[in-house]
Amino acid sequence: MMVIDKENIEMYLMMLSDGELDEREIKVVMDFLNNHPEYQEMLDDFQKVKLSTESILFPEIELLYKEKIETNVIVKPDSPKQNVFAYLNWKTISSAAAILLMAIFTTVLFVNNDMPDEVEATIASEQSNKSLQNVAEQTDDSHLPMLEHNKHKSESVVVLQQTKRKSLIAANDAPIAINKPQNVERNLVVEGRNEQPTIAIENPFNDNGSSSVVAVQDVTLNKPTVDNTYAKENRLEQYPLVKEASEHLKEKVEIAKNIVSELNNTSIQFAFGNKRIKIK
Amino acid sequence: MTAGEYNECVKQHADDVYRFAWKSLRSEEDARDVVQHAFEILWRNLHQVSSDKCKSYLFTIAHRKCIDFYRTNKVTADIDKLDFNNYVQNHDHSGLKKALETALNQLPLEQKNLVLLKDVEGYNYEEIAQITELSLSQVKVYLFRARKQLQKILEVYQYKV
Repeated sequence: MMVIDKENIEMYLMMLSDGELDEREIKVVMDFLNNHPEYQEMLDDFQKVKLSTESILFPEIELLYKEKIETNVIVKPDSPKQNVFAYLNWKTISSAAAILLMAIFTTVLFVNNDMPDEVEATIASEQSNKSLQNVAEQTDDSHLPMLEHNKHKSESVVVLQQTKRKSLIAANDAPIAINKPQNVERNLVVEGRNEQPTIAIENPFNDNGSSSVVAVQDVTLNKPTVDNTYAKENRLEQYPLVKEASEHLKEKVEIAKNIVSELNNTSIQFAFGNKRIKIK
Repeated sequence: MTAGEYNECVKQHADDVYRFAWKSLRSEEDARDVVQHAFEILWRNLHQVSSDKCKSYLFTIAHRKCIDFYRTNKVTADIDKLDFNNYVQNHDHSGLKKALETALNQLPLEQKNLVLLKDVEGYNYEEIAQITELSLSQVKVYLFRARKQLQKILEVYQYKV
């Protein structure tokens, strides 16, 4: 219960003039004023010293506005950025790129080459390049018929050989096949450094039913000098195959030269388990 | 609070904060600094302030800043230096208003700000206590002292209120 006396009446009068009393308190104060009219003047004094409101405009209000591009988005200026790219610095990106490059390079090496336990892959030397280039240049292509050549398939010789054999069988001619032609290409590239590449020509449909080598042709000659009548009769069938091999050799030589020029001053060494690969 | 709500807060309350600071410090330049400071703090802490609390938040910062300015500039009230001659001679409403403003400027800044927050800005006692970080009883006591001081100042200079 609110008690008003002469000690606290001034405080209640100020609160009454400030509108801080509820209805019950106002009633109590008014009852006190009715009983003590001498305090009415004190209430008037409090009401007269109240300040009035006036309008003052801030002249630089335009400076306070912010751009509304973030409207309806809670702005957290002091919070750390939630951008995931903020955690990707140049070290992370370069590491990822290096790992990816190594994985691709290793995959290419394992697919295209037989990987020994310890490989020291050296780009073909200038001498071997010249040797291979000579092989390709010395091949006589003037008498070769047009061939469909798939530059992107390393097994193109095989496809050609199989197609040709089928046509020969249909014509009841002596079938000719090149035994493992894919090895011909590889031997020319890998072993061409020390010995002349050869193509073994065999007749897989001899009387015994087993394959046998019927001719060995040196592809470095301008024209095949096969001392075999069987090979001479089927020379036209050999030319497309030799043509194919020579075209392929040319492409390989060009690729090898490009690789050498690109990686001439590059040396990379890395290891996977017990396999160590060194590229100069 | 969003940026849009912040801009709305600027639109609605910038003039009020400026008026409060200007009447408190009696310096247009200082009042501009107070307003700039208050809204800068609000922008920094935008995520901590809801839109319905932005006005009291701004006045809290402005009140603190005014106190800092007051203490830094060593502004002191000196009743004896008041010149009420012009106001005493014109006992009309405009004269009373100017006399009250002059008397108000002679109050200690803490009491002065309480009167401004109550009479000019229209806050109740509880809101003033929140803004000034005082207790409710302190607000009542300080306001009472300020009212009595204003009455005393006007009576001393024969301006019978």
